[in-house]
Amino acid sequence: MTGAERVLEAITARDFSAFDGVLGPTSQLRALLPSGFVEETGPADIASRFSQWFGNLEAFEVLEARIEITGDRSSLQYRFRTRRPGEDETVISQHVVLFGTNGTVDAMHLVCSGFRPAQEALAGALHDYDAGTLGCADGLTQAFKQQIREVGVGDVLRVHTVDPSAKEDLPSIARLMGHKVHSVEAHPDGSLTITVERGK
Amino acid sequence: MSDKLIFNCTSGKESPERATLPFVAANIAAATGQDAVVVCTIDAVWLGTEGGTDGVASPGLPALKDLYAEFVGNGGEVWLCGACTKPRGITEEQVTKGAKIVGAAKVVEELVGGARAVAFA
Repeated sequence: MTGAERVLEAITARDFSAFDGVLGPTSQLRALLPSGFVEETGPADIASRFSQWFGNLEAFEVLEARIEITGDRSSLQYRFRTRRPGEDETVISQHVVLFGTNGTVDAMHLVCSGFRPAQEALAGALHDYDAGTLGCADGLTQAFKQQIREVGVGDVLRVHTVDPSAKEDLPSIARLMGHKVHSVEAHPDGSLTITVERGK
Repeated sequence: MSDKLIFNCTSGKESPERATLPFVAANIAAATGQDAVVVCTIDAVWLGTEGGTDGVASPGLPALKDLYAEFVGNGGEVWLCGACTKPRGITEEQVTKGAKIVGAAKVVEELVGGARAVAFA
């Protein structure tokens, strides 16, 4: 088993103690997260960092895990469905380029998507529609109907609006038309994003 | 299945009796444990804004300010028609406790789900 295979197996099995046998004693993790850049040194601290991400989960499912070879360099690409205690389901993907020799990994350069709401990622393609200031008397219903018809069944339409009544109205319109409302997200500027999956 | 009772109110300060009566009936519904909503349209949308019920009183009826507070305290909701708030320049920041701006689809969905609409003024 190669170093890349052993690291990927440790991550997907969430057995981070297995890093001990494959990461060198001064190995480094350099990770670019949505919150910023972090670094860890040594198998124990690297394992601890992975454990923070994936150790305490109520649900964990490997959606994709593969090794890519570029010349003499290996990288890992994996995507998980996860659920933290008391929270909604999320998905997360990471891409990790491995550096090392003779089966030992000396450095891991990682880019992370962050934990993202699962419903959008698990459904079909994602589309965006800016409804602007349209309200129920300005043609919002007809405009939404036209937009959702242009996406495939199972696809997700993310509607952005600044109309205050749309917060209550768009989910109703969507449900009445037989679609599935995933979320209504309020933003600090007063605008809203309503995520709808086309049902029929 | 919706158990809501929806009371429509179309008048504001210009017609205190018409403004107050739907809240009288809706408050009885809310006080007796019913799921009660007053849907305010046209000038009644002002009633759901800060200070919107101040001075609204009709002989023989409770002051709307007190009645409104009692209704909301009983769990009642006030929905302000979005198509009526928009041309009047009413924003969410002006909306008072217990009220929210909704569109017609919200009402239609409730009715489709079994809610009953009551005309009381």
